Amino acid sequence: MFRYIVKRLLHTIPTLFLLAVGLFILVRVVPGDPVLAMVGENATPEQIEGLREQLHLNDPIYTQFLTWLGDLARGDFGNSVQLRRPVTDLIMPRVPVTLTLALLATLLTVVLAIPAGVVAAAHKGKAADRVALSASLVGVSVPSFFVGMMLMLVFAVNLRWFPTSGYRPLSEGLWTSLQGFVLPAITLGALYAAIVTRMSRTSMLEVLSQDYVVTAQASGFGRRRILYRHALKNALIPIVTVVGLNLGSLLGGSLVTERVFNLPGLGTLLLSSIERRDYPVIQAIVLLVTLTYVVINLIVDIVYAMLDPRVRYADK
Amino acid sequence: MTSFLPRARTVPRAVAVVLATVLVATACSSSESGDSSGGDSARPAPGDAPHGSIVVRQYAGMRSSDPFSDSNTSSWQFYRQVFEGLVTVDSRLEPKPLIAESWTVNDNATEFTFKIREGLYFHNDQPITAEDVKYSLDYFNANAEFDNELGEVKSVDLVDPLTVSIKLNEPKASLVDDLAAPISAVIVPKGSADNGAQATRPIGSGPYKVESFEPEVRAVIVPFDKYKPVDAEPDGLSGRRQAMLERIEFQVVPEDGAAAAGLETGQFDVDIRVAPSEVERLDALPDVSVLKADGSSWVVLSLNLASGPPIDNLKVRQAITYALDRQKFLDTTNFGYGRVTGGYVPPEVNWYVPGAHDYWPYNYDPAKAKQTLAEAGYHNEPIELIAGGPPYQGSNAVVAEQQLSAVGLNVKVNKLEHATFLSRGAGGKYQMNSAGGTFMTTPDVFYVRYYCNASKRYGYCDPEYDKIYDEATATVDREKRKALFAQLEKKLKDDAVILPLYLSSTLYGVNDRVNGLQADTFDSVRMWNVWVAD
Repeated sequence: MFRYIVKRLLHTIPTLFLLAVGLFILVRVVPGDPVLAMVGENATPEQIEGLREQLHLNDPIYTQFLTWLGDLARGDFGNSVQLRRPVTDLIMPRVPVTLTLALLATLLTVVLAIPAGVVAAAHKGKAADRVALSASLVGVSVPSFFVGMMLMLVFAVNLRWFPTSGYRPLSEGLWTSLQGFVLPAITLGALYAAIVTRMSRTSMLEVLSQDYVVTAQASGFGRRRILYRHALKNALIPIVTVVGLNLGSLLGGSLVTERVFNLPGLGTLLLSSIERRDYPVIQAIVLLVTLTYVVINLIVDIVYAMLDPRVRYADK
Repeated sequence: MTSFLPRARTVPRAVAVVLATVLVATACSSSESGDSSGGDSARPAPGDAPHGSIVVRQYAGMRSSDPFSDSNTSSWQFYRQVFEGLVTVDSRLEPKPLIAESWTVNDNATEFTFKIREGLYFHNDQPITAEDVKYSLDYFNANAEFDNELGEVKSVDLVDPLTVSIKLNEPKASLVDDLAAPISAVIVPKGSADNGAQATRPIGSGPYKVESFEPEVRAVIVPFDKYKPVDAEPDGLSGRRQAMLERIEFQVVPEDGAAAAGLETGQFDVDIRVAPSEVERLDALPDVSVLKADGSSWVVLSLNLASGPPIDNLKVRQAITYALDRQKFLDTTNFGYGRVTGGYVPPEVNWYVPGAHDYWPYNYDPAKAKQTLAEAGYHNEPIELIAGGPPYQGSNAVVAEQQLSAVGLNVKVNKLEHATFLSRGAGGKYQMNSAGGTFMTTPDVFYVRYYCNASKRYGYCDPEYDKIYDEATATVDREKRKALFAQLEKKLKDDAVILPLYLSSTLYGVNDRVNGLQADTFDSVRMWNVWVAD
């Protein structure tokens, strides 16, 4: 198992390298110029050229790439073109924000959506099933900016239970800090909860129709025991995949939610960096998100083995 | 000169209109105008300890605390509280003393000497000297993030410990105005900006100093107790500046909806850019007011004359101007908050020349547009109108497409992502674009754009125009320079080169507990002389 993990991790190196090359070229192929996002309209061509020179944007692209790669190997993401700060300094304070948001949204998904899916499957075609299906349909269909704005209107503006937007660091108290995450986590979680509910329901229905469940029923086991001990464990495998991969996309895909609730996470930083073509920052965030995906994928595979004794990874 | 209409929720409309008119009239006759609310009785006296704190919604920017790295209006709403320049402007954009107490200019506008006020300190308690001024101007001049504001600087020389002189290679009569502009060169301690160090350790000399700064997220400023204000009545950005609050937090909130919600719940005390769509709702709230001032933010369509046919045809350009119903743009995209004027230059500044800056020979006339188009020999050549700035610019492009198509012009809107939009503009790879900005200094900033080969952006080239421009640049006498500017203005309009749509209003949202905030024509937020009632 250990060797398997090491091998998998080593496999990620070429993946990340190819991504780095592709990414590096792609951000530069897209039209737009970081310098033009900085200067005023009356800047002379000489000034613009001077700034390009100063920022090494005139160096040949392979020189720029090798410099970046060399720095990267030493764990240095370089400096932001416009913010004039090391990229690491910009990203680090934002990781906890996005991570908290993603974990809370995932927690919400797991706590609400899996039981909802199980209940729906157990009561297939009955009221509970229809409620779960309709609710998840709404969750999938309604765009998150709308969900966010509506939650804000009701719970922040009218009821004043939560702040309308913004982030308070943990140093200002756990509850103060968490309060700001409740509405964004629900907004972000709503979409994925909906997907997971439907996924859990389908997976459960499939398992429930299998022979061993029928056998268990015939043996006189209790309904609850069959449902939660025998069926759910097997139904969980596809669900774990979805939840795991969702966590990855939550980390990279919380752009809209972060923007609506004004959370200073990686999503807002990525968005503003793209707008001003801040190449080093874009590259660093995309690489980071990719790395997270890879690691989560690995964890998902390991969890498979724990859930299903038939899954074993060869130590070769 | 600013004016504002107070919230008139409980007053019948007719009475409100009368009251508002009276208020505008009185506001225009006094130097202090547009105070947010409250009487002067509670206003702290000079020397009173700062008290209370507020949270300000910032709509964008604040990428860095380094004022040399960013020329965006939004960021400067913050920098202005912390950093000061040699000179500043009053409510008519006339230069006034700030760090410099006086200045002299030689006859051909190539040498400018500034005398620094005594007893001033930086936020690190170091006294302000001529060396710091020289360092700051040299540093500013070497940085490209700003327009070419100081011109061709030959040298900045120390005359004595409190006097510097700026020598230029070419005349630039507007130098003092440009240094005084609400966005310009600030003075920092010698060496403090090297390698962008102001980004991590901001040191200014204003009434407030930076306590903490998180790029694009938030900043906290607190009073600087060694600040020595100018001894003059406040007028615009000039005069006495007093830090009356113990703490001001700027929070970057890009979403207008979230900002309005925060103002409503009291999470923000001040919003320095209320979206026109939110004004009515906010005005209806019991403890929030929207301060409104006639603004100087110009909203325009730009033409690139170097793009070939059909834009290089004068008749086609004239037809375009006749086809535009500018009031409709204002009503549609800005909910009527603004005014349709003759051009970019607002009537509030001394540079405004009646007969030139309000000269507009192309009032909306679709029939005339069609006729002019026929005379032009226009053969349905396509015109691409690009947009990619703030949302209002996209809306304006759509309105323009509709109005221009109505007279038979083949116009297609192309909405671009912001960075692409910027590079197409700068590279002159467009025919028509939807744009905007804020007028903050002398009209030079516009006229230089139409100087032959000044950039690839507008493609206007006229030797006579360049001659007048050169003469204006070398004319120190303000009245004479004004007359030359008026000639340039008329020329641009006769040649149908500029398409001004409207000047949008300055709209600030403010909680009633905040006093002394002024909605400013030039949209330059000042947090000094602002206090809270509680």
